[in-house]
Amino acid sequence: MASHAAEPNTLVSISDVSYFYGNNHVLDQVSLNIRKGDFLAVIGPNGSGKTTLIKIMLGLLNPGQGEVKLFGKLLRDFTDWGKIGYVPQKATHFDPFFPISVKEVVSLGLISNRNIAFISKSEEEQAVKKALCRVEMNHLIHKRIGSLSSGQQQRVFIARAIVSDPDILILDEPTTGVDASMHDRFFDMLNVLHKENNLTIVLITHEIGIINKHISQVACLNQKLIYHGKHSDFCNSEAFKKMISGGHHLISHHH
Amino acid sequence: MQRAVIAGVFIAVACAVLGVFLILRRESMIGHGLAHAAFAGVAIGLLLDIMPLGAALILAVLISILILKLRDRAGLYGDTGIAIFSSAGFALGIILVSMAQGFNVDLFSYLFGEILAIDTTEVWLSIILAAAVVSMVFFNYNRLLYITFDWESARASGIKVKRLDMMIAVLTAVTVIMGMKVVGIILVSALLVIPAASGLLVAKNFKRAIIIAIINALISVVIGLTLSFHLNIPASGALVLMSFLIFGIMMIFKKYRN
Repeated sequence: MASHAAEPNTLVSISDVSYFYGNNHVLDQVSLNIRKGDFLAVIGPNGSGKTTLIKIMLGLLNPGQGEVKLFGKLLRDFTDWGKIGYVPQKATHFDPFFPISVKEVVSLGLISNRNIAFISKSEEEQAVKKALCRVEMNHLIHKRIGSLSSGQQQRVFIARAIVSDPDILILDEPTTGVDASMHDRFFDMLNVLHKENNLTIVLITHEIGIINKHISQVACLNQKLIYHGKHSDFCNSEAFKKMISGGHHLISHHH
Repeated sequence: MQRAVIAGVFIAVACAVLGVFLILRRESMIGHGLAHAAFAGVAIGLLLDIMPLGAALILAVLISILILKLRDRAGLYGDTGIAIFSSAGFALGIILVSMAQGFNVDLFSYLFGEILAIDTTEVWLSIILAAAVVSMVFFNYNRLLYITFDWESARASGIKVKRLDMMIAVLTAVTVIMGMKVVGIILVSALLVIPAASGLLVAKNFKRAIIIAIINALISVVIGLTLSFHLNIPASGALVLMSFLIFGIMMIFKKYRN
């Protein structure tokens, strides 16, 4: 289970966080540490509080109770947002007619680091191209984002999240709308980012079937944190059995 | 005529630039709403014999902030707040007008615009306004684009999104009030929406959309005012119809391009 005391290589420390939507208790004293190098899947059924937890972590929601530290700093004192890349759940639900190119979308990710007006054009272009290469989307740089498939759009949003060279990448339901046959390729790409770029990855999903060989840690959430540990131990855990009996079936599992 | 062209050009540029952001933020009707709500300010000004545009400006800025707060805190969608304040403001204006006598001619100039009667102070105000809008967009271009495209991610990346929302709301209110002088309360939203819509119709990226919107606005003002002068037709109608004509041409262009 989660330890409350943050270890030296802890990037994110969530301590006793509770959250209410009106009278609805969404999170109940959740504590979770995310360490450098983790490839963590936060799983749980729909409405279990996964997205709420991430939004609290990113400062998008204020927790009713508890404390969040990012890179050792309290959330309210944290300003170095370029260290965190985030792809929201509804990233691909934008207006398809929005006149914005792939290049412009990825450039937006540089704003968190500093005002991109002060980055030279060549620096900006280089960073955008590098990020797009990492997600194998460089050939679409001048396309309008609305003209791409959902899977391609998702990769472009990942490029936007990693263009500022973050230490941690957070993806909320990243495979929603992505063709099931492309899941393996998608995870292979994430694994390359994780291994070659030493990127800590946090992945939120309600589909335990997409958890695969690349994921090192699993945090199972259902209002409370009911499991946090190695992926290999998760399949034998009570939490896993409960999820399966709750109708969440394992679709594919690559060991 | 010269003053009208200068003021018209600067106000139209401010409207075109802001309009692109407003349409994409699904706030196309905010100009319409603020102008109608500001009608109460004009009526108060005329009733109390104080500067009607000043009273309208204060009211429009206050209402633009209230609309924003209502959406954030009361959970109302942006356009619901616009509809509520637009109706309430206009209703108040009607009552105030009925209570007062003898300013019907003045009122008509605010309802339908009177750009040919614009004075030097108003010309300078329009130049300052356009400079404020263009510089605001220039210095915050990437942040504004980010919050317009993906508000949540922009906020998660540390951008002060609420501050920028407020800035857009206040500048829109000021632009609407200046636009009232050009085309009047009834047609001011056309200045914000039609040039911007034509830019968004054909542009493949955001910067081009803004440039096309500005070109539409400039052509509409210059040709609209020229036609108004030579044909002796209302300037506001000529200007808005010219903008609409350009929008129609863009639609045909898009159809054939595709």
